[in-house]
Amino acid sequence: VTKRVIGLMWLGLALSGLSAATADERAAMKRPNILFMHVDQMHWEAMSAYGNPHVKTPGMDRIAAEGCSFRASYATMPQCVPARTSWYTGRMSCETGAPTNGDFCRPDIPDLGQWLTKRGDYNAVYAGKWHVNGRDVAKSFDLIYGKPLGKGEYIDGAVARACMGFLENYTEHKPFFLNAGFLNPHDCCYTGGARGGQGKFRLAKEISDQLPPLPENWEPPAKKGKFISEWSETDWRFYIYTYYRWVEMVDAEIACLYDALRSSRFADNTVVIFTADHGDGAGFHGNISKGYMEEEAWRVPMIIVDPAGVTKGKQDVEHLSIGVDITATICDYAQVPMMPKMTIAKSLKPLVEGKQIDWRDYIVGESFHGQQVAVRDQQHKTILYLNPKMQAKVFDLKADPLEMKNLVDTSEGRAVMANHKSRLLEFLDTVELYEPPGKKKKRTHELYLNYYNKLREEAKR
Amino acid sequence: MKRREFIRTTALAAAALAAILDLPLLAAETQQETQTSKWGISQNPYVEPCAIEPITGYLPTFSPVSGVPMTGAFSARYSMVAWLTAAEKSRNATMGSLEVTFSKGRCQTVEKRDGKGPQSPGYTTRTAVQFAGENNTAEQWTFESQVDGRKDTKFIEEGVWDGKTMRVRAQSFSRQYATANPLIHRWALLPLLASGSIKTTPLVFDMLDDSALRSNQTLRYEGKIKVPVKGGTASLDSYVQTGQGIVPTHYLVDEKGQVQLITMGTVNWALTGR
Repeated sequence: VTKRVIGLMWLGLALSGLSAATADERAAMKRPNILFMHVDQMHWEAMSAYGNPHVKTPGMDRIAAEGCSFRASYATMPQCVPARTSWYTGRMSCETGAPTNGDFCRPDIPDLGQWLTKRGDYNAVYAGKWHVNGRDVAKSFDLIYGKPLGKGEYIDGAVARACMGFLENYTEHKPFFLNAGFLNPHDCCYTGGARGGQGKFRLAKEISDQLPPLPENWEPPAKKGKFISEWSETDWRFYIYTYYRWVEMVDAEIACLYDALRSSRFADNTVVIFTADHGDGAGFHGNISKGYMEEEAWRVPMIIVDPAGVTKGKQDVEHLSIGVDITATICDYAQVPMMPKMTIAKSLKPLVEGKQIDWRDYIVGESFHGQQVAVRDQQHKTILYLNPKMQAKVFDLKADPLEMKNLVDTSEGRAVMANHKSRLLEFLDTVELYEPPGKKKKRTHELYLNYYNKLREEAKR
Repeated sequence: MKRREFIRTTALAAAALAAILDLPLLAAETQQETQTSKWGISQNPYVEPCAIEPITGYLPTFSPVSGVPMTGAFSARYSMVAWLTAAEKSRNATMGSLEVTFSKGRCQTVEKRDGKGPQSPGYTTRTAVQFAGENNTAEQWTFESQVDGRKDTKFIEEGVWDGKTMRVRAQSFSRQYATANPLIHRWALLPLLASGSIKTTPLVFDMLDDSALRSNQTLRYEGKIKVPVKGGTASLDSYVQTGQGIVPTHYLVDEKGQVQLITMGTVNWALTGR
């Protein structure tokens, strides 16, 4: 009898194991694949789908036509490392340990590769630019193609085709979380010559009929001595011309990958997320590059294609979103718990599905590279500088989308700034400021710790 | 005379002297590198022509290759000349290679992009294009791609162009794109450049670049330019290509009809063998 009971127990255990495995398998089958495509340094409006007449982006246009564009999307910080660290950890820049490009992600927080692998049984796969300092991408993901050279012209074709090859050959039952880290239009950072000459700028006069006009809010660069301060109008227009060509260059690769996915067997069960880590000056306000909080640098394109979604082709200008929302959205689609302490992040999935939900009414962005912090609500933006000698800026984005009129000295501006400072204090109560262990803090960490502590002390008075 | 004017004047004088004596300009240039230019990087007396700007760190080592015209059946080897970051001393380095072989109506290429350690492996593509007509328009092609050492990234596409639409099919996916102009593969331009036909009439086309489409390209002749190379100066015909999805691309062709140098931006090509 004893033997029979033991035998039945073993049989029961085996059957329960079998049924559990089947349930897991069923759950895995229900989870969608996720393709996260990101580009580097793309201006939020450098897309023909959004009405920009100076650039042709048929690939991104198709993504916009089939997805939901969140037009009021922003980087957590408009610089590569901080923005990317936020994507992959779900935490704001003052929390991750990486407030500038020179800093490292703290080791005690998980990243999306680890999280989706452990919590969702995903196959987490990576190709291209990573740039989360201090976190070995090959330990968190199956790295199918790294970055031999930090140039989009060199790697972007290989990134697209490594991912296309992955789609061609993938036979596992697990869902995949495929990351395509494109580099362009970041090559706009290399417009001079290889030995310090003027690059191809002298071609400008020969193609002057093709050069876009200067943006309406262009102004001579404020910083004298910066080499762009000596650019002629033609030089500026040539920079903008080539910038848009770099956007088109990566667009052609994005088109290859996206179209391959959409015609593949994975089309009906793969969510696509497309965004940029930060923008580029592209001549707006007389700027190139990033690291500051005006729209051209802070704001980013953000599109989600959910094959089951009902918002195809929608342009959502109402909901303010920030880089960490991508993390929350990916966790939501993957049906895994949010990662620890993602106190700011909100999933965009319900909005993609056309649901009405409570949403935030402001966002906070930081740039410790540019030593500034910004608060944006539906109508206004305030840019506060860590250096007390710098005058704050307040813009009415509805009346003045190009941020040409600083309202800081008006009664409206003062009221907005007071409101935004209180919002910033709310934000500080929500996040967990990262203090590196040990006595010596890096200057970049001290920057935000000192500034935010000062704000709190001022508020108490 | 202000210091900056003095530097500029002496730099120009040195460059002029070097040109008169047919000395390598780069020797003069190297001496000026520490001076600040209006671009905030370093003084470079030979900013003209712009066609060679992305490879000025490589040219002192480059000798034009002698050989037969790139028309009919021929083969050629190119080195990929990458433009490195400003922190690098030479700012150029070879980071890949290309072999092209042409026979009647057919172009085959093998392109390798170098890796950098186990996490960043190399990448290889192979193309075979069947083309026809006076502008070498693509008829059909195969394209193979793989990250070195990763079989799970390998795929092969077959493509056709019917004069209006480019259709591409792999084993598990397919793509198609409408074209507005004749479709020409990037490397099928070489014989057209060698023939000199574009000298008189600019070429308007859509470009097949690996498996990507780059629309509305114009390739036109710019004129003859002098290029400082190892041990002297080469006189080359300069053609410039502009269009969607590319940065202005220069093709420098010698009098025998060989495309010696191709400059784009951060990726460029130099002929190294026939």
